[in-house]
Amino acid sequence: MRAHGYLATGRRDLPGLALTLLVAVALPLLVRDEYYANVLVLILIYAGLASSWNLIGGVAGQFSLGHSAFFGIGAYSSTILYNYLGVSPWLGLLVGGVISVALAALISFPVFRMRGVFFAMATLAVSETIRILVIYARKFVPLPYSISINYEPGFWRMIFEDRSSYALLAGCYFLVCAAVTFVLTRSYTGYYLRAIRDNEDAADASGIHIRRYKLLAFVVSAFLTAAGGTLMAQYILYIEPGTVFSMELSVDLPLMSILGGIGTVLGPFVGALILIPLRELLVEHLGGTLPGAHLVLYGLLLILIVILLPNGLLGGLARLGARLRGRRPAARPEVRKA
Amino acid sequence: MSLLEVTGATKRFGGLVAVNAVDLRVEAGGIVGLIGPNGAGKTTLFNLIAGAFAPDAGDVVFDGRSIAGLHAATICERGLARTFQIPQPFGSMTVLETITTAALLHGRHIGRAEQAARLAAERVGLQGREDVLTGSLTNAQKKRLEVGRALGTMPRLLLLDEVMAGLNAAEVSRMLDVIRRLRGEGVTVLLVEHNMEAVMAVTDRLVVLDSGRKIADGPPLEVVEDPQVIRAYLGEDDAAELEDSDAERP
Amino acid sequence: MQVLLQLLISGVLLGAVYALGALGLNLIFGVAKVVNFAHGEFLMLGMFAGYWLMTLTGINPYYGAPLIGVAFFLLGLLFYGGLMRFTIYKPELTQVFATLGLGILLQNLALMAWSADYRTVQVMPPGFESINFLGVFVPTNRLVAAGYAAVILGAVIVFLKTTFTGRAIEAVSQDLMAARLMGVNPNRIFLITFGLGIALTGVAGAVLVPSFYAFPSVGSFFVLVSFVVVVLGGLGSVAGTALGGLVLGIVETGTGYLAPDLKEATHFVLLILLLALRPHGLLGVKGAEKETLK
Repeated sequence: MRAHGYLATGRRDLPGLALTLLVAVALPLLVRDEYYANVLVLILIYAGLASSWNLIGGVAGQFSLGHSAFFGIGAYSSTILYNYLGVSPWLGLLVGGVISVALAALISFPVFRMRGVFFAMATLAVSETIRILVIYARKFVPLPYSISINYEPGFWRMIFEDRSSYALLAGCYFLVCAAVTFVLTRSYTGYYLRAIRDNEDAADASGIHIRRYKLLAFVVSAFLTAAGGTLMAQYILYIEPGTVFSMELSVDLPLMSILGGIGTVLGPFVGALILIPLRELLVEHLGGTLPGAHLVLYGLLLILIVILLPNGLLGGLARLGARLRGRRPAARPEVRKA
Repeated sequence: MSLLEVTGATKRFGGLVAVNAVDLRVEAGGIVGLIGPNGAGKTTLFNLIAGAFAPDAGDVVFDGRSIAGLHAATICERGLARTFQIPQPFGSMTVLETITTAALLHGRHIGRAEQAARLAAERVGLQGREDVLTGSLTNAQKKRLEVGRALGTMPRLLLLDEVMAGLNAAEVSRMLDVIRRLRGEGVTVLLVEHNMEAVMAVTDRLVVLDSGRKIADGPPLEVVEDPQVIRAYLGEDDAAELEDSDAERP
Repeated sequence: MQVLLQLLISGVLLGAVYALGALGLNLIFGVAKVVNFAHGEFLMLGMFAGYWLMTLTGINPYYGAPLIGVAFFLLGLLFYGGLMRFTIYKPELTQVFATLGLGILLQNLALMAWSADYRTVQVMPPGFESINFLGVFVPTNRLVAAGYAAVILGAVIVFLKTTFTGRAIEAVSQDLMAARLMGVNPNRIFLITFGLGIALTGVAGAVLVPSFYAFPSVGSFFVLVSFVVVVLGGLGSVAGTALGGLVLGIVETGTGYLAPDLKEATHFVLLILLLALRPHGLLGVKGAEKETLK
């Protein structure tokens, strides 16, 4: 470890940086095949979303199961603004982000009073409530259950002809999420959030204003998740409450983080890199013939991952590497070697 | 003016008055011991000062400003740091990272905080252990890390909560060395202890609590001779017996 | 007036059903400090067990419920022995995801086996589907289910207070360390508790199938309702579960009358408010919400 400035960076960060740039920028420019480009777009959007979740769920240790609320708000804000008022989704993205930040700040008062599984339940309840309210709102505003966006390519409309443009956009999104995570974890906030995650009493006694830093992680996470919602809506060009506010998404994001390595910068990306293609394959081969079969495997995978790989692949690799180098593995390497 | 001034501090839990109108002063530069038998209210008073909860009545003034009812984090920012009786380590961090976290309070520069943390680690005798994960420390080392973390925030008043409880003789003597050294560096310390002997060795003044009330306050040698203190520690009958057996001894 | 009475009776009957459905969740939480996210799926399996029992053998689930209880007790032992045993002393996150994963697995196994069709059974003879009580319409299925709920809640309270095993369970739920020192083997207690919790959930499902449709994803609805009931009544309190169920049943029936579309949202709003204002519930022990086994 070397002495450093406001960011605790070192040579060990370089391979991760190179890999991130390669995947986020180079691959979108290289992949021309429609099928693979589609998988790449999904991987990158999910990698960004999982990274966003990871800020509050992994780095700060506040296990949200309600992130579909922010995702859905992002998707709905930009779509409604674009379809009904002709506002560019680029602006819609900001609006959705701001609404999500407001929501996160608002619900932080009740939900931050809870820890662990109660925080998870409360956030879950919030997202379910929002979904029900969105459906209920159709009583008062003439909003169809599902909304389609007209396919009219254009940069300011955030609609593109080729998938590789989407891939590049998704890559930039992921890059931003990863960069934010990097800065947050390597700066003093990273120390603070880890301290809060590890032991709130000791953090408090070390002069850390717990609510302030939890809230910071929460609103940044909410904003980035909403941005991902906008991107996904502009990619699929179709939204409905059941899919954008789905609990499945709220579960996917933590799952990807855990699979890759929770609390790390690249863990969520690694998780998305494995889960998305896997799911595409399962749906492709089993989805048509045996409805539900791919989800049975998915559930099984979920169980196996949390029991066998609690530190994720990156944590497991760090352990393996430590063992190969003949050193005793650290007790919890996942947070140290991001 | 004293560095810390507690006046009439009272805290009730339901029907129980855990701390009853206690006054306490800590002058800058001294080491004050706060002792008392189990359930005397030491820890409650300690928590009132450190901000774990607010007093029901009375005031806590630190460096001329009231800190009663403030958040623990704010109190820490003002320059008053505490340890926990049962060590509360940051499980995912190393010794150095733990103290660095505390040292970031006075500047967001990680390199500088790390330098300060190395010094603090050395002051509590954890040099050479900087890169060890907190979970792999022995209990005695965890207790010293508690002191190190508190020192990392560069406090003007250090509150130590039973840092010697559960340690063996050698470890106690090591901890006493740490505390003596702090005195040499001019750190003011308020030491809560159950173990009277250990406290006698380092304190300039002893305050004794019993059943939520202050029953003695003065130089250690005088306080331990105080019959009221002996009674509080040993109970009425035992105290009488002890006096008898002392008399009978040839 | 008539409307109020109708709402109150409907609310109480619904509340009893909710309490019965949530009992197993609360028992397992109270003792092992595990929030079982697969709880709804076990309830769903109980409903299907009741459905198939009736369909295949003609045995009315009201009579067959004890049989289903025994089968689900074994299923609960398997649940603990085959899965939860490996997560019990691990971080909460592991438990959340292990049970979430199991929930997804069971739900989709049910989908593969029985398709997404809605199923129910007709147990009451025609003409006895409902009775008229003081001009109030009372569905007999709900009445029987509520009766079941009352009996089972009472039996569980008696079991916990009077039997040796019951008291050992209570001891573990209150203070694991002390219970261990007194010679109670917590792992055995966890095993029994999971067996019992799942058995109660299975019975609840079987008793509910005549009045609620059974389908693979019905669990997602019930698991959330059960969470609310448990939090409302108090974690680890059986009497609290009964009270929580009743409060939720009445509130939901009332909201359903005023704004049917918001019926479900009341659950969650109630949950958030409660978690924030009174996290230990109406009858629960203070601090239980922060408790873990670690």
